[in-house]
Amino acid sequence: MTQDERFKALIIKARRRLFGERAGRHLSALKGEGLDLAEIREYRDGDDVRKINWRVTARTAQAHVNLFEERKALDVAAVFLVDGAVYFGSVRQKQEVMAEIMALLGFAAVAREDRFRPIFFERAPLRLFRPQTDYKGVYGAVEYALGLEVLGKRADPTALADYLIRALPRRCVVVVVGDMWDIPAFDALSARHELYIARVRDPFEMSPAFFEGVTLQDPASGGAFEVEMTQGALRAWRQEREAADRDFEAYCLARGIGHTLVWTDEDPFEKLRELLR
Amino acid sequence: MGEFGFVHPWAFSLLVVYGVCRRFCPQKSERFWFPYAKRAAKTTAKRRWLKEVLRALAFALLVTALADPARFDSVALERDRGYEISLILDASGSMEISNKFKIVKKIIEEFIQQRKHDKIGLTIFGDFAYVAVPLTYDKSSLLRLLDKIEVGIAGTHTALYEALFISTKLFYKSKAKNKIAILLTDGMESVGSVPLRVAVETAKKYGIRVYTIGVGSVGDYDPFVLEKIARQTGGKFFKADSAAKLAEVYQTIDRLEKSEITGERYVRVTHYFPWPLGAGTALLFWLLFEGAVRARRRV
Repeated sequence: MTQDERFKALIIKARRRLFGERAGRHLSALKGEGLDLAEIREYRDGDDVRKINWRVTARTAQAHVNLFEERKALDVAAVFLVDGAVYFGSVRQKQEVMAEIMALLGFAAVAREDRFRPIFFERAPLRLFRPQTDYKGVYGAVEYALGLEVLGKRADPTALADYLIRALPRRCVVVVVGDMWDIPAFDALSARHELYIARVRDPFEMSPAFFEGVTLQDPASGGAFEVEMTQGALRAWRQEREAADRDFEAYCLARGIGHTLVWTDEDPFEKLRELLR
Repeated sequence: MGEFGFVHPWAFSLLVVYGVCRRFCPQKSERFWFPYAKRAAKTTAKRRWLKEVLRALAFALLVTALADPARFDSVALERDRGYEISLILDASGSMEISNKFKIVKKIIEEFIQQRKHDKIGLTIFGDFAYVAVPLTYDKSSLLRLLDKIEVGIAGTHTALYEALFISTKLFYKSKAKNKIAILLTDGMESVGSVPLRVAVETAKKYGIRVYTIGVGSVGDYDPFVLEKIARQTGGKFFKADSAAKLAEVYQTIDRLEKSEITGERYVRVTHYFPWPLGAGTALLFWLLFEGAVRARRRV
């Protein structure tokens, strides 16, 4: 499949997923409401049941709903972390799945009349797109994501956090898409913005049952390393990765950062919907 | 206990070649892009190190086998190829005249010492003949005994043919290729019980070359008989009318009958290469087998 064909297939799939199914109409983090609570008043006919404030309703025995400030257009910054580690995939290329996530976020944002800000970041921004308000703008970002040369690139999440704090003056929704192993220093970033992390992973990465004596080449550094993937070594590797994942999740949970792990053999839409619910 | 060493120690230079090859021309293996490859290598490093060591060990064992470890036992002579020499010495009374016996003994001692790799026996005769020392490599015993022999120890007459006959019996079970008898006398046959013909035939039968030496003036001994004995057995007859001449005679015999293996070392080598060869091959098979089993498990 050529890159153009892949691009078209990906766009069609993302749009169908978002708009073709009732269940998928909303990526709910992009609530379509302002984030500031204006008042809580009694429920009236026609109010959205999703806005019911259950705590107050329970306390007063009268249905109450939250009212927000008039809806403002949100900034949805979708950060594509450019790292060689995404040059891999036994089912689909991780980079392709990330491009699909960018497409889903872009279409959802545009559909809600929010501003979609794709950012491609390694140690510094590689490419900045203007805030997009139409689908055409999203296409450009997705096409760029698909065609991006990631080999030899190594992302620096700490530099990303510094950059986003400086570059995004208004509070906005930040979704970081990429592959991270180590826990990033996102404390300040999560305090300032509504932060989500979607890590992309291939199932084979967890259990790389290569034949004896292969050379693994790191797509980020280019270094080649001989490995012996014995049963014992596989077990140790899997345990190491699972421990790192647990630490990562614990970090995110403690700081209120939304986190999900998107596998290359599954539908990213479902994972995103869960993440942004 | 012999020395331990290697027959082909140069084979160990292959270890250097192995090291250089492992470092500079590593085995081509399949190559894959893999995220966090460095961490994967670190996690599996212990296992890889073990395998690398086992591989190197297998190679080292095979190289050791090639170098052929062996025990070199002390020099042993190839007995069959040496000489067997019977010294037939006249100890009759006449040998005392002009101190001949002492001079002869001294010259014979030197001769014995020169024939390091030969078996030497000693037959003495006077009224009768007897074997003083059978054929032996034990030169020190031989010299010690020779030192003790005095004139007249076997009587004062000359049993020449008997002495030759008796000394030929020393070679009865001999397998040596070169059998020599050196018959020294200063007299004529006077009391013997064995005829000359029998003595000579026996010598010929056993393939003994008899060198005969007549000591003193020609009238003292019978040069014709000595000449005859020598000629018929393929030896040579010498006349020695002085100590210097006698010494020269023995030197001549020494030269004529130069032992082929003089100065040649024969070393018994015990090879131990099957041990490292077996261990190295077993280890190699284990490595191959283990790899094959693992590959099958993955399929």
